[in-house]
Parts: sequence; structure tokens; C-alpha cells
Amino acid sequence: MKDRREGYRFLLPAAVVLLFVTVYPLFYVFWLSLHRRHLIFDISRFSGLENYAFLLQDERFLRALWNTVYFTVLSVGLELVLGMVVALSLQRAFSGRGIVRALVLLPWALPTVVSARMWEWMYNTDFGIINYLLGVDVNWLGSPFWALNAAVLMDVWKTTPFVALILMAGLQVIPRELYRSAMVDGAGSLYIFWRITLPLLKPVILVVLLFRTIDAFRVFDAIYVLTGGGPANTTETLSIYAYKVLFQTLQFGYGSTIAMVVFLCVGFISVFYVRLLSR
Amino acid sequence: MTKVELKGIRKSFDGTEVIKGVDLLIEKGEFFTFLGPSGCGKSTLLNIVAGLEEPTTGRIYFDDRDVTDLPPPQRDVAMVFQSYALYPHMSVFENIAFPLRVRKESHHVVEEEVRKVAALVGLERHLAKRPSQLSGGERQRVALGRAIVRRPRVFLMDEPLSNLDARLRITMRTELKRLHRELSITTIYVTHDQEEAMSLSDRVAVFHGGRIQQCGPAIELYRRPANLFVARFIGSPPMNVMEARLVSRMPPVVDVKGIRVELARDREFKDRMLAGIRPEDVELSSTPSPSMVEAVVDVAEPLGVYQLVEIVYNGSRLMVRTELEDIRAGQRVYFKLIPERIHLFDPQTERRL
Repeated sequence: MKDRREGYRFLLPAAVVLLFVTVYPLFYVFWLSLHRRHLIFDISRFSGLENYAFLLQDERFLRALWNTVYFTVLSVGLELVLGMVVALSLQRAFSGRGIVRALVLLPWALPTVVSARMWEWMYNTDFGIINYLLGVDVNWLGSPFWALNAAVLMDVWKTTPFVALILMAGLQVIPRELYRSAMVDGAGSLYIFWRITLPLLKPVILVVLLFRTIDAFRVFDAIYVLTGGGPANTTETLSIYAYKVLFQTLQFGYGSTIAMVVFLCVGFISVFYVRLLSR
Repeated sequence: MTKVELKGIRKSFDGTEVIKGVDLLIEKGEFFTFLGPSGCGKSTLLNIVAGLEEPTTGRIYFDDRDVTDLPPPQRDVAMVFQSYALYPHMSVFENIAFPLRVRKESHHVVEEEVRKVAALVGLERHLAKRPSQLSGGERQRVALGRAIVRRPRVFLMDEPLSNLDARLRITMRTELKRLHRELSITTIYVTHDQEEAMSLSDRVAVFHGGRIQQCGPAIELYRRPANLFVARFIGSPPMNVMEARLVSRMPPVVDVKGIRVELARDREFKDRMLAGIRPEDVELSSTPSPSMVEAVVDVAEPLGVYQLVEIVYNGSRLMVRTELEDIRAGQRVYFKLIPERIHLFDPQTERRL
């Protein structure tokens, strides 16, 4: 009993820090989300769940929610497939494998702002290399259809290396003898991939998905630098919307409500994956 | 049943030759063992037979058909790995069923065959478990079951017992022998354990430095080792090897570190030789006799039915196996080398004389 109490004493500092940097802000944001609070008009009053009710009528919010989901599903899906292809091909022994592995990681090593600026120029209608190479004249970031897909492409370029890296680590843990045994037993490489590699990689894939889904769902800097949420809010995600409401129009109440939605979504995603993982 | 023939097999990895020309004929239904220390090329050769490695030169024939260029799936061999290579995400049933699933056998056939094999290797009660829930011996049985369910042309076993503890290894050895008798499928077995090789095999090939040193029934390797390496590798504890000199030719007498031994006349001799004598071929007595040499016991290891005794005479050491029970360290003993059991080797070529 004494040991146990002593243990708690050791945990106390960490608990206090967590309380101040996570739990307190979280509850404060929730508290704010229950208020109407405009700094500009100096309004501040308790309004209950009014802000939450307003979300459902706010077309810009629904649009941002849809953009976020679209961006998350498409980019994470593509990153997983491409990352798997990269990981599988880099697993084979060939000369210069170390250098290739390092090169593959490069996009991920760049700061997001830098790569977003770089892609912005690549997408440029008049001077961009993409239009030049394709021989077309598309306004990628100005077209409501292309802009969000352009952001997805950039994110895939940037994050596939991360996915590949983790999958490679997962592949290395699978004993080679399992493949050899399956081969001797007559299995072709596709069969081996579906029946052996993929199931054994499942925990690693779930971890990758957990990280990537949460990151993609909260995406901010990549798109903010690339398009600023435009054109006509077609690339505005929840984080960008929350940022604009909070810090550009200083509606602390409603902005906090949007932030709470992001928090709840991410929370659900985490619980979902962690459940799958622990099964 | 399949006959396996290897012709002129050589294999290099990055310019280093690990197999330096192997020719072998393994008969139908034979239990054949590749025996050798680690790094002698025996596992590589097994992988070449399986098709997991390609020989640099040389051909492999199954029943006179050239299979050298066939990938592993088309050779119809089954392999048991040292690590067992069980699929951790599948049940025991699915592990054993795997080769059948690959062949897309019907549900009915899979069910029947797996149950039959499970009964054969004693796993009926464990079919629903995962490999991680099994003991080492049970995992070993799953690996065997997965190989058997194929009814392959050839069984390949790469040190299948070396991850088991000593007691279990002996049980599984008997089990393997029984299975081989029941199924009579040609089996190639790789091991570094000479006892395992001797107890299981119809014939053994001893490998060293990428070459076959000697090939034949185990008992022949024990009785007439072709060279010093085989002499030292087969038998436990290993053979004593000492320098010997020919003292007279008629009758032939050799001097083994001061002990004069008269040998049979029909043997071949050189002036200087290496004499090998197994610990079990030295006669030991605690009472003096005119034909025996005096020595002092340095170490005595009682092992139940017999004792291993290291004796010192004239500054040389000799390992002796004896059934005498009253031998203690420091004691005076008397010994004699049994002349017809002395092996002679050329000190240059290390070949048997």
C-alpha cells in the first residue's frame, strides 16, 4: 500500500504538467465553445449549445468537413498503396539500395512550408513545370475542381516516404524463411503477398493509418500555404476554417466549436484504430 | 519415390566458392544426410536441391529429369526449416493446410488430409491453436505435418531438431525415423550433429570446406573414416590423434608416443604417420599387467553406463571410455591400444592409409 502511494508521488509531476498543457486547454476550448464571444463587438455571453446547432446550418462548415474527409481518404489511401509499392521494391537487394532509400526519404525531410511553396510554383499556370511538361494551360490552384486534388497530390508526394519507411521496417521483421517455405510449398508471389505479407504487416499498416489519418484530418500548413483555402473555399479544411474564424474574425466561441469538432473526429478515428490494433 | 542426382554442383556467393564440386546419387526412398560443421555448404546445397538457390554450375536431376531450371513450386519438394517457418497468423490447421490451399484443393479434401496428417504427427487436439500457443516440440510437429500433407517427391529437412532441447530431440528423432518408414519418401536431412546423422540415416555425406569428405553408411564412416577430418568429426567424444613412427616393417611395429604396437601385416605404412584411436578402443585397467602402459587419471567424468576418463602418460593426453567404475582423478591406471582399431593417416594429405 505504501509502495503504491509512493508510486503516485512519482507520477504527480507528469500529471500536473499534462493537466496544464492538455486537459485544461481542452476544457477551456469546450467552455469557450458554449459561448457567443466576438472580440470585435465586445460580445461575451453564455449561449449553451447554440454554436453546435449553428454548425448544421453553416454551409461553409459542411463544405470544410467534406473537404477534410475527401482529402484524408484520398491522400491516405494513395499514400498507403504507393508506400507499399516503394517498400516492397526497396526490400529487394540491389546495388545502391542505401542511397536510394535515403533519396526516397527526401520529400518527407523537407519542411512542409518549403515543399508547399515549391509545389505552388510547380502548379503555376504561366511558369509552372507541370503545365510545361504536360503541354497544357490549366490553372491548377485556381480551379475549384483541381485545387483540392492538387493539394492531395502534394501531400502524397510528401508523405509517401514516411509510409514507405514504416512499412519497410515492418517488412524487415517478417522472417525470410516464411517466404521461402511458402515458395517451396508452391505459392506464387501474389499469393504470398495476400496470404503472408499483408496479414503479418497488418499491425504496422494500422499504425501507419492511425498516424496518417490523424495527420491528414488536421491538415493545415500544406494547404494554407498552397492555396490559403481558396479558390472560393474549395480547399478549406476544418483546421483552416477554425483558424480563420478564431484568429481572422476573432469569434472565439464559434471557432472553438469547430476546433471541438476536429478534436472529436480525431478522437473517434484514434479509438477506432486502436480497437482494431488490440484485436 | 524419387531418385535425386547432383552432378558437378558448384556455388559461389560474391566470388567466394562455398560448394566446390559435388556429385551425389540419392536412391529412391533413401534417408540421406548432409553432415558437417556450420559453414561447410550443406544448407546451401539443400537450398539448391529445393530451388531456393541456383547452382553456379552443375545440374540436378529428379528421376533422371533435369530440374535445375525449375522454380521451387514446380519441383514438388517439401522443406522443414530449422526455425519451422510457421505462419504466426494462421491456426495449426491452416498451417498444415497451406500447401493444399495453394493447390486449390476442395474444402472436403483439405479437411480430410489435414486431419489424417494431424493424427500421424499427434496434433489432433491442437488444430485450432496458433503456433505461439504451442511448445517447441509441437511446433516442430506442425512443420513436419505441413511437409507431409504435400506427399512430396522429396523431403528436405534443414536442421529440424536443433531448436529442441536434448531430451525432446531424441524423441523426435525416433518419430522421424518412424515417419520415414511409414511414408518411405526420399529424404535429405541436414545436420551438424553426428549422432543425429548416424541414428537416422541410411547414408551420410560428410561435408567440409564445400566438398564431400566421405559418403557412405554411417557405420562405415565410423569404422573406416576416409580422412582425418571425418575421423575427428564422427564419434563422440572425438578420436584421439597422435603422432606415430614406423619402427620396423617386418613385423610392422609403430611407436605411438612411446607405446610400441604391433599391427597387422596387410596394412599400408609410412615412416611418419598420424595414429587415431577412439576413446572406446582403449583398454583400461586399474591393475598393472605386462602388456599395458602406466598413466595417471587427470579428469574422470562418470556418465552412468560408462565413464569418460582423460589420462596422462609421457606428457600426452588421451581420452578413454571405460566401464570401470572405481576410477578417480589422480589415480594410477594401466592402458593398452587395441591394435586392429588403430587408424593411420598420412600426415601430409590427411588421408587414411
